[in-house]
Amino acid sequence: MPNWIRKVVGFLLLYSALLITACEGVGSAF
Amino acid sequence: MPSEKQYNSASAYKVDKDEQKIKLPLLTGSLLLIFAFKYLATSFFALGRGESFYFLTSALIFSMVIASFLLLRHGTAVEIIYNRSKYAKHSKIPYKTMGAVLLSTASILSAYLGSYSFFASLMLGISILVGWYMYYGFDPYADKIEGYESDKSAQRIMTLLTGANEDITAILGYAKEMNSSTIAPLMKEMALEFQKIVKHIEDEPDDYDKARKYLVSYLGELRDMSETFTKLDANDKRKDVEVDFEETLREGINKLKQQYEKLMDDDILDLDIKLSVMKKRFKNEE
Repeated sequence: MPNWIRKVVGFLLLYSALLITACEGVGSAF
Repeated sequence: MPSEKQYNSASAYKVDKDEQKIKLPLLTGSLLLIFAFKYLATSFFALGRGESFYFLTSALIFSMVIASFLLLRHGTAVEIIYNRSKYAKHSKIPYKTMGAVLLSTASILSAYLGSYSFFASLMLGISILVGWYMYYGFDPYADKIEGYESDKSAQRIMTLLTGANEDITAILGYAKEMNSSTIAPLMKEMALEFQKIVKHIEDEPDDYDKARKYLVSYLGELRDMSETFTKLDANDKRKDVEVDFEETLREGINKLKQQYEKLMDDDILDLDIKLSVMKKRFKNEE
């Protein structure tokens, strides 16, 4: 896998998971 | 940015002195701060509503994300040294991996306390680990000691070279402070001669034994002498020893030049033998 694809996929995976967690995670009811 | 010396585990084998400061990309991991801020805000809201449990957990998650951010930056700095050095020992503390695990745990906690099932939270945590691995990577896990017989000999030689480099830097520093116009350039020249030998050993660790005496005892003693002389020089009391010291330095420089040439000659001899063996083999082929 070329390095840039790896970076893009990694970035999306990491930050989308963080975003999802942050939106619906702890305290989202407030 | 901190200097390299603070990253001891990665700089234990550090011999490349070209880069004195590590320049981390300014934005590395800064997106994590946005998420950290979100949890900080949540904890304030929870406090305002009197929800002490959510206040505490949000504050905990906030600190975990911040810790993960710091670990990522520190680990990246250590990794930069590791990548730049010709020889390097891997960091004993896996900063980046610890950061990844911490961030993943924080997210699992956050998701589970929010509106996700345990399984979904776990999946989110795993995607964070995998994403981190692909984007930031984990820490290097092997020592860079190519060309050495073993881990032990690498350690021995690298310790010597690191010490020698420190001595050389110190001598160059003394030369800069010096007022005496005859001694300062000699000290500098001597340090540069030592540097040539160090460079040679870096390229050919097998020659270590031949240069050991110079790099251990002579260099150390010359460093001590330079220090003492610099002190005398600062107090304007150098006159009595200046001539003797100058002579010693000149002699030292000559000896170092001879030693360096000897190391080079040995290489020529070595190559000469190999060439003649090769010639013989070619002849036998005919």
